Formats: sequence, structure tokens, C-alpha cells
Amino acid sequence: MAPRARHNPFVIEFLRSVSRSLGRFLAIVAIVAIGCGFFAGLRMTGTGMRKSADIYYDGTELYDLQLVSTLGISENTVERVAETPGITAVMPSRSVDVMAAIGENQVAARVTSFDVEAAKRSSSDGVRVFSEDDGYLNRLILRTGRWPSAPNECVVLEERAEHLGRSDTVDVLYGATSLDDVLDVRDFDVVGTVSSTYYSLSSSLATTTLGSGILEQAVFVPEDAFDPESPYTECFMRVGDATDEITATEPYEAEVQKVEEELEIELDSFANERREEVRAEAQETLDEHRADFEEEKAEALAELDDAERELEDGLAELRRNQATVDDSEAELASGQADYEAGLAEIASSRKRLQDGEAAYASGQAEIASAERQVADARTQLADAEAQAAPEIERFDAAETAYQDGLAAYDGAVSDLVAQFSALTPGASTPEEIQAALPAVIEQLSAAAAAGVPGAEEQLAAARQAQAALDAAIPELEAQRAQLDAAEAELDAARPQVEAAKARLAEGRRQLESAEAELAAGQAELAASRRQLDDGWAQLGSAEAELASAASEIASGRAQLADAQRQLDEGWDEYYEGKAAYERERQDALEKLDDAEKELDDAQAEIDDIERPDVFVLDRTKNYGAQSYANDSERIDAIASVFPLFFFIVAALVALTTMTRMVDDERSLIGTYKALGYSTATISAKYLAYAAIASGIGAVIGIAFMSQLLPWVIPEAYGIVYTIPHRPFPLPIEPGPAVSSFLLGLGCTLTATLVACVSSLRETPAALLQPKAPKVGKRILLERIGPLWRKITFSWKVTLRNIFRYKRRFLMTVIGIAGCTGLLVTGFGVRDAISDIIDIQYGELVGHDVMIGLANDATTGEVADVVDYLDETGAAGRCVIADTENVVVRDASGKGDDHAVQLICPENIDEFCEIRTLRERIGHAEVPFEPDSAILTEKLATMLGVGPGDAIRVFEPNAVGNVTDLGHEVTLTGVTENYIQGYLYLGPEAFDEVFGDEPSYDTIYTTMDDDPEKRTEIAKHLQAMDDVDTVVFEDDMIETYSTMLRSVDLVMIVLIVSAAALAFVVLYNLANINISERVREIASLKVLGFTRREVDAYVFREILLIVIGGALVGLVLGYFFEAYVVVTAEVDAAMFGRSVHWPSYVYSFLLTMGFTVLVLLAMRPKLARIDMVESLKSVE
Amino acid sequence: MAFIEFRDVRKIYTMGDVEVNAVNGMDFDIEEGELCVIVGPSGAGKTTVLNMLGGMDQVSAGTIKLGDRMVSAMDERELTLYRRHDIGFVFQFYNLVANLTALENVELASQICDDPLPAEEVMEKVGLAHRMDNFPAQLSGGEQQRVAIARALAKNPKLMLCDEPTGALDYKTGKQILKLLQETCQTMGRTVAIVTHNLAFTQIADRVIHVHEGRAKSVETNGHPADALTVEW
Repeated sequence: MAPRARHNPFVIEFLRSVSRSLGRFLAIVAIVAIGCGFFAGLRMTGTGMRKSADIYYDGTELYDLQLVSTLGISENTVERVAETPGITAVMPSRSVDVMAAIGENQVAARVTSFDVEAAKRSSSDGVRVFSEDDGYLNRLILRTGRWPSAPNECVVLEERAEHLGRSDTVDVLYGATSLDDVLDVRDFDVVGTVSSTYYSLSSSLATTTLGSGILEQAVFVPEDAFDPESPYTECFMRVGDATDEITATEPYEAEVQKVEEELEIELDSFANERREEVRAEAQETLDEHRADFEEEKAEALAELDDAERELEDGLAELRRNQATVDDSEAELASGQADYEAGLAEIASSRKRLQDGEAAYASGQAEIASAERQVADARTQLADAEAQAAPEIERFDAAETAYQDGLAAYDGAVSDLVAQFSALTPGASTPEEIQAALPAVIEQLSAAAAAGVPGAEEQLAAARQAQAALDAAIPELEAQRAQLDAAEAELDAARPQVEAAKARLAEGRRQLESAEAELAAGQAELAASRRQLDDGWAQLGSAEAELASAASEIASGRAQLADAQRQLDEGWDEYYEGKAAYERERQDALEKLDDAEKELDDAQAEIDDIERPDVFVLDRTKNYGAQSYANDSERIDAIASVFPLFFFIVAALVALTTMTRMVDDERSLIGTYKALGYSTATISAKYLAYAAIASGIGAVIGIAFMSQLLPWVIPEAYGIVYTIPHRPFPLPIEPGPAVSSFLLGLGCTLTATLVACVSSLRETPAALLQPKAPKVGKRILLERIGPLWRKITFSWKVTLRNIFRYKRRFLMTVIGIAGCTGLLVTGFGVRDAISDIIDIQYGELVGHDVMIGLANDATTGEVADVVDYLDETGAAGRCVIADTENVVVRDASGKGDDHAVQLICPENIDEFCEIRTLRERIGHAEVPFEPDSAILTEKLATMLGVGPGDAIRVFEPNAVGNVTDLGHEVTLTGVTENYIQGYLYLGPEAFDEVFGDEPSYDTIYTTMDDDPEKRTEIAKHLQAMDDVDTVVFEDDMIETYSTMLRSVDLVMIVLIVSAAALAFVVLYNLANINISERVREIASLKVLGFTRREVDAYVFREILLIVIGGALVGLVLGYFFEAYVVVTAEVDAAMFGRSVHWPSYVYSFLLTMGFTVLVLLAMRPKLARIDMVESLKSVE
Repeated sequence: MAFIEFRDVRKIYTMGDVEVNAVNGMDFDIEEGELCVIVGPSGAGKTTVLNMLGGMDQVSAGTIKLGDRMVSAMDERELTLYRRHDIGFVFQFYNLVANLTALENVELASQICDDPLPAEEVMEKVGLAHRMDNFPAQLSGGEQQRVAIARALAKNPKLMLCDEPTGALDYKTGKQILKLLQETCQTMGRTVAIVTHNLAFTQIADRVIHVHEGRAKSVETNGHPADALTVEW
């Protein structure tokens, strides 16, 4: 080759060949631009995102490491941390998660202290914060308003304020843990809004145990708002050596790692130290308390003893008094008895006296009457004596007469009886003798008859005596009779006389006794008179005595009553006092016991204070920083796959183009060869051609895409991140740029070499001959005779042509497949994100509001809320469940934490009406039984588990850390779900896992769409005591809608890229096909093919390939989309997994549309083909 | 009235600033059923004549009539239909579609016209019944040209136009092709026009038109044309 290149005909020819085949040249430029651009752009995007983040993080001094402890952090620890080599700044801070009323919302918020003075001294350009305070980390950027100047003033996150609605106040309601001794101020005035690098993900700041589990707002308050005694909750650190490195890159992580390891060595010691501090502090307080207690106890006991003693004294006195009173009373009683006896005596004396008087009076009367009687009797006696005197005298005479007569008669009878005494012994009276004589005569007669000697004489004497007797008797008898008559007369008179005499005697005697009696009576009366007079006198003195005794008694009684009353009062007092004392004593003792127990408990607590868990966290544990880093890595992942595809297409385009070029210039190559140019020189022409084309393409592509993609993609993400964009022009990263440039160049150059190597091997002679036309080939389809015969010839040609040029076919199919695939990916990603909302809220979740009650809410309180909701008429069916924010890990319990909402419904059937549990593929129902444990799909995938596998569930402590071993749960199913993660447990399963009954404290329901009504109900609900949280799913829907809008931007990029790909490939294909077939086309024209027929003849082939390519693209797109969706997916959500059929249709139609555009553009070129070409000789 | 009439046909090409009068007042007639040979040296304008007669190019001035149709007045669309229905074209380099078999190449033409001859029949007539299913690349040059003639014939055209039909063939094969064309004319009564620079062909023609510098220098009729196989050159 001649040294003067400018005039080198070879070079000139080269330049001309470029200008003559500009289309071909531009095709290579374009495809390489697309390939390299995408590759470089995507690669720069991930890096760029990390750099943007780094600028922001470094500019705001975001912490590199953070120390947290479950027992807080003391000044000592902070000092020790600061001494750790590699740490160049430390900033301790206090924060606490609370439920707060912000405007009309009741949300979970984190209250964090910050150095207001440092903030005031700082200045910001919106991305960086400049401050002289080296220890001021996590610097806040003031967006609106001013910095707080009082403890009750705060600033909140601008991005969240925008989202939640601005409010002038933040009222802390309650904390995740007790706020006593932590937060001194509860009601804050919002004086400004800020951006915090600590919360770079504005859609969800962090997880919390409160509310719905997502932190909704961050509240930054002056340090004075916290109790100065409370320990720091975290300590932020800067690792000086890491500042120069880009965040989330390996060098950065290595630097941080070094210090982190240093710190980790110290963690045990920090923990021990902290435990000792806390213990010592607590012990000191407790000891003080115990001392106070002991003192108080002694005092109390002493007081009690005093009181007891007083009571005892009182009792003794009372008892003494009582005895006195009792004695007096007894005395008084005996006095009274005496008095009463006296009274009785007086009464009886008086009675006796009066009786005596009466008796005396009657005695007097008697005496008087007796005197009268005596007088009367004397008179009567005198009268009677006078009367009876004559009769008595007569009688006495008659009696004397009679006594004389009787004495005569008795002499006579005694003479007779003496006469007969021998004969009738024993007979004493004449009658007895008379009566006994007969019997004696008979006996003497009998005895005389018996001859008894003397008897006759006796008989005769007896008979004579008898006869004498008989003569005497009548005389006697007469005497007798006289006598008797006298006697009778006497006797008759005698009684009278006797009586009279007796009467008189009696009278005399009586009179005498009466007179005697009277005299005695008179004497007696006189004596009794004397006695009576004495008695009266005595009575009078006794009465006087008694009267004085009575008055004495009365006064004694009055005194006694007084004494008794006083005494009674004394007793009452005493008993009251005693009861009070007993009560007080009991109380005091109980209180003392309680206090002592409390102290003991406190002591036990102190003894039980475990070593705190102390962690060093780096930025990967920061929700925003890590998810941004993850997103940037996702882009890297996509960057490593997609551009590869573009490079394949670029290589194929280069291959076909260069093959065509070499073929076109076959005779030229032959000529050069014949002229003696070396193979290397000739191939250099083509290599240079390809190199220049791809070089230009690469530069254009890299330059353009390095601005576009690193801007568009973070822009799409930017809606949820607060990380500011870098200003244009974005720096071109040399690594991706160079690698992309070389890759693009390598592809085309390799393709070019492949293309020209076969031609260059041929001899010049062969090259100068026209290339033998490619032998027509039968294709497989022709073997199907009947079908083939039905096809028209133009179609036959088309079909045969399609398979004739394999490279072109491959290029087009791959290119178009890529185009369609990109479109499917774009539409599919859109579908995937819209599915999140559509399926989640259209098919799976049937409620749009969740009302969380306090953990200790009773069924009654839950029912109250349900009743209220029913009353409003705006709410649908209420389903009650236990909802807990838990953490799950894999079965080993050592893997990553995944925050999950555990839901255990009270009634599974009702719950299944508002939550559809089904498999994503096939929509088979996932059975939910009381013993079921069902995990949502994304989580199951991340944990790598399925039904039958075990996971571990942890109940995190107040600051969200896992501190126990958790509970194992064996899954029974996996269910489709897109937003957040859920673990559904049946009540039995819940019981089995936690050994505890679920507390049904959450209500899921639907609510009227009217926002005013919603606000009103929400307000009312939040005002109810037991309602903790009211979460509307709208917020979630809005978040994902925003995401969807941001994806549209990416869609545009994808569609434009797809179109570019299609244009380049199709243009190239059509161009080659037409230029290669100019002769054939001209012939057809000559044959009388109409323009349409000619177009069809050429384009049909292209269309067929495009259709084939597009069909392949649909399949390819399916996989692309799946890859992108799975790669780009954020952890908090599962994107829809299926591409909707309209997306396939759109992608297909768009591809066809691009094709038609290209073909329409090519039509004039076809029309321009001159029929004369057909007459020309074959080259 | 002749079957084909050229009346003062002119064709002026503008190439940059230069105007070239490729055909400059061409006048001739061709009767129906004649085998006409248009002969002249390179650059004489015979290809232009062929183009205009074949409906591939429009006249700048003058009239061309074929039968009762005024070809020179046709617009592009009418020309297309004219080529389609009235003209059978035989190229020097056959211009067969490589991807179609011999028979298919014939059918390719016949399918687009109204009253085609059966392709197989035509193939038999050109003596290629046995090669019908071969691809052009599998055929010799002569065979390919036969296929091309069959393709032209199958359209049942009013005029068969042949552009140097033997130009790419060897002498012997060329003669056979000429013979085929002559037979076509004689036995089938086709009007055949052959454009060539080879004066030897004039012997077989019914009419010979000598073209020179854009004009028909002379038109001869030949009462007894020779058999093509006897012609030598």
C-alpha cells in the first residue's frame, strides 16, 4: 500500500463504498448503537444509582454503622465506640416508635432526637448539608419551615407530609413501649419539613410493631423532648475510610466491614458493660427505695405500737371507771332495795296500825255492845229467875213425895225379893221371880213327881209362896203404878224444870262470863289503844327516814347515769379506736408487704436483667438504603442479560450485511486480488468498514444511552426514593463504556471476518466469475404434496427464499423476536404491576379497611366497634381476626428476617369470603382449616419452602428485634398474594404454635368509597378508646399506582428500543433482499407483475419472517418478562406473574406496525427498480 | 393495418445535462404471425425499441400500436397489464426464478394472466417434459432458455419478445433455441420479435428490421425464411 493514504485509490474506493452503501453502513451503526448503548447505559444505571446515593449519603453524612442495644446505650459505650479505630465520628441519638395523631390520621411514627443547634448552623444545597459540626450525622435537609427552637417543636419528613396530608401538630398517643421516663413531650408543633437521608425510601420508611407494621412518618425532635435520664437508643458512626468509596459497592463494604469487625469484637464487652450499668443504676435506685421503705416501715410500725399502747391505756381506765360505776350501781341498787323494803314495811306497819285502829274501833264497839248485852242478860236472868221460882218449888215438893213413895215401894219389893230369894235365886224383881217361879215349880213338881224327898214340901211351900206372891204382886203393882205415874209426872216436868234451871244457871254463868269477858275486853282494848298509839308514832319516824333515803337514792341514780353515759362514750370511743387501729394496722401491714414484694420483684428483675443484644448495623439494614442498593443491583442483573441479546442481533446484522457486501464486491475482490493486493489488505477494507461503522455506533449509542438510561430508570424508581438525581450531563463511566465499545466492536469484527473469510479464500479467477447461483432447494413443506400443490408460486418462492438465506433468516427472526420480546416485557411488566393492584384488590382481598384494636380489647369492645360500623351503614360485613406483626425465617431460624402479618381469623368461613386463598396457577382453592398454616407465595419462594415444609415464626420485641428462638410452623399451603407477606393460621394451629389463644382484635371490612364519609368514620373510630389503627388499603393502591406511572417511562424506552431494533433489522433485511434480487424483481416486472404483486413477492417473505420472529418473540418475551419481573421485583411485593393476552396482542401488532412502516419505506425503492436491470448480464 | 405499428417513435434519455436520443423517429410495422428480427449494432437503439415495445419504457414521442391498442398512450398501470397479458418476454440470461422449478417458473407467468396455456403442455412443447421438476440451477443454459420460452409462451401472449435469446448460449444450443422460436411462430402462429446483433438470424425471419442510430434503416420481408437449424454464424 502506498504511504500517501489520501491519494490511495484503495482508500478512496473504500470511502466511496461507504457513501454508496450508506444504508448498510447506517444499519451497522444503528444496531451497534442500540446494543452498546443499552449495555453501557444499563451498566451505568446501577453504578449511577449507587453514585447518586453516595453523593446524597456522603453529602448528608449518612451513618456507615449504627450501634443498637436492647437496653439502650450509655455515654460510656458511646465513648468506647468513638475510640474504636476507623470510627471518625459518633452521634448518639434517642428514638422511639409511637402511634401519633397527625392531622386526621393516626399513624405509626418514629420520634427521633437530633442536634437542633448543629442543624441550625448547617446549610444545604438540597443534596448536601454543610456543617462545621463533624459529629452531626444523618444530617437533615430543611425543605419547608424552620428548625425547632423549643422542645415541643418538631420537623417531619416532607415526602410523607405530602402523602399524609400536612398537619401543624403531632400528638403522640402511645408508644411501642412505655413512654414514661423516655419522652417528656407528647404534643409537638410541626414547624418545618425535612428530607432525611436515613429514610430514603419514601413509600415505606421502616417496619415497626405498631399499626399496620409500616412506619408512616418520622418526627425529628430536639434532644430536650426526651428524658435526659433515658439512655440513648442508638449510636451512629462514620467510618472515615469508607467515605471515599461508593456506597453499596464492594470497596465500601470492605472498609465498613473492617470497622464492623473491630466493633463486633467489642460487642460482648459492650453488652456486659451495659448490663452492669443498668443493673448498678437500677440497684442503686432500688437500694434507695429499700432504705426509704425500711425507714417508712419502722415509722409505721412504731406509730402502730403507740396507737396500740394508747388504746390499752384507754381500756384500763375504762375498765376502772366501769368498776366504779358498777359498784355505785350495786350500792344504789341495795339502797333502793332497802328503801323499797322500808316503804313496804311502812306500808305494812301502817296497814297493821290501821287494822289495829279498825280492830280497836270494833273492839270498842264490841265492848259497848257487850256491856249492853251484859246489862240485858242481867235483866233477862232476873226475869227468868222470877218466872221459874214457883214451878221449881212445886216440883221440888212432888219430888220429895215421890222419893218417899219410891222408898216405900222399894222396901216392899226388897222384902218380897228377900222372901223368894231362896226359891228363885237370881231374880231381883217380882216379875223375874214370877217369870222364874213356874220353871221352878215345874222343876219342883218334876222333882216332887220324881219323888225327890223334900220336893213336895218345897213344891207346896213354892205353891203357897206363889199364892202369897200372887196376892202381894197386885198391891205392889198398884203401888208401883202410883209411883210410876208420879215418876212420869215428875219426869215430864223434870226436863222443863231442869231446863229452866239449866237455863237459869247457864244464864247466870253466861252473864258472869260475859261480864268477865267484858272486863277483859275493856282491858284489852285499853292495851291495844296504847299499842296503837306507839305504832303510829314509830311509823311517823320511819316515814321521815325513808323520805330522806329516797332523795338520797334519786341523787345517787342521777350521778350514776351521768357516769354511765360518760363511760359508754368512753367505750364507744375505745371500740372505734380499736377497730380503726385494726384496720389501719391491717392496711399498713398489707401495704408494707406489697411494697416489700415490689421491692423483691424489682430486685428479681434486676437480678434477671439479661445481657442486652447489641448489634452493629450497617447501611444494608437501613430500609431505604438497602432497597435502593437492591434496586441498583437489579438493574445490574438486567444489564447483564438484555444487552447480550442486542449484541447477538448486532453480530447477526453485521454478519449478513458484510456477507452481502462481500458478495456484492466479489468481482472487485477478485480484481484486487488479481492486481496483487494481499488478502489481509483486502479484508482490512471490510474490517475497517465494520470497525468504523460499529465504532461510530458505539460512540453514539454509549453517549446517548449513558444519559438516557441512568436518568430514566432512577426517575422511574425516583418516585419512591428521595435520593436526588445527579445533574446532566451524567458522567460516562469508563468501565461500562469501554467494555461496551469493545464488545460492540468485537461482535461486528468477528462477524465481518466470518463473512469475508470464505470469499477471500477463493482464487482471483473464481472470484471474477459470477458466483454460481444458489441451487434452489426443496423445503420440507413440499413433501406434503397436497398442501404444497395448493400454494401459489409466489408463496412457494417466498417459502423457499425464507429458508434459503439462513443468516438473514436468523438475524431477522432473532431481531424481530427481540423487538417483540422487549415489547412483551414492557407490557408484561406493566401488567405485572397493575396485577398487583388488580388481582390483590380485585380478586384476593375483599376488604378495604383494617381496624386494629388494642391488644387487650375484649370481645365486647370489638363488638362495640362492629356495632358502630353497622350503625354507620357505610361498612360491609365485619370479619374479626387476630392480626400480629411477626417475623419469619427459614426452618433453621438463622436466615434473613421477613416481616409478615400473621392473621388468625375467628371464623374461617367468613374470612375466606373476604380473602381468597388460592394457588396462582390454576386458581385451585387452598383449603383453610382450623389447623392450617398458609404462607403467601412470595415469602414461600424467598424462604424456599412449600406445603409440608417448616418455617420459624418469631414475635419481635418492641423495637422489632428477634430475641427468642421462635416457634416452628409447618405449612399446609401456599397462597397467591402480591402485596406484603401474610401467614394465615387457623385458631387450632395458632394455639399449637404459640400455646395461647388468639386475641381477636382486628376487624376487616369494606367501606363506602365516599372519602368524606370515610374520613368521618375513621375519625370517629380513632376517637374510640380501644381502636389503635385504621388502615385503608387505598394508600397501598396509591403506592402501586405511582409505581405503575413510573413504569410507563420505562415502557417508552422499551418501545423505542424495540422499534429501533425492528427498524434496523428489517431495513437491513429488506435492503439486502431487494438489492440481491434486483434482477429477479425486474424480471417479474417485465413479466407483468403489478406493483402490488411485486411488493407482495418481496415483502411477503419479510412479513412471514417477521411473523415467525414475532411469534418467537412472544415466547421469548414470556421468559424475558418473567426474568425482569423476578429480578426487578421489590421485596415488599410480588409482581403479577402472568402477561395478559392483550399485551401479547399489542406487542405483536406493534411489531407488525414497525414492519409495515419499514416496508412502506422500502416500497419506493422497489418501485425504482428499473426493468432494464433484467436485461443486464449477470455480474 | 399492421399488427404492430411504430410511428415516429422517439425516446430521449436525460443523463445529467446530456440528452441522448436513443430512438430518433423509428417507423416500422410487423404483421401478425410473423417472425421478426430487429437487428443492429450495439447502441443502435434496438434495446430501447424492445423496451418500448415490451411496455417496459414509455415513448418520448410518437405512437406504438399493437393490434388495436395504443401502447404509447398507456400509463404505467396499463403498461403493466399490457406486459402481463400481451407480451411474452425471453431474456438473454433467462431470468428464471432460481427458487422455482422449471414447471413452476412457467406457472409463475401463467398464473397471472387470463387465458394461459397449460404449463405442462407448454413444457412438453419446448421438449422439457422430463425436466419439469428441476430447479434452474440444475438445468443447462439451453434448457433454461427453453423454460424461459415456455414461460413466455404459457402466457399465450400476442407478442413474444426475445432479447438476444442465444446470447448466453453456445452455438449449437443457440440454434436449437432459434429453431424453437421459429417453430413457435410457424406452428402456433405467434408473432415473435427477436432483438439481436447477430445478422445471421435475419435468414430465418419473415421480416427483418435494421436499426441504426435510432432509426429503422431498412425493413425487409423474407418470403422464404430458412430453417433455423440450417443457419450458420
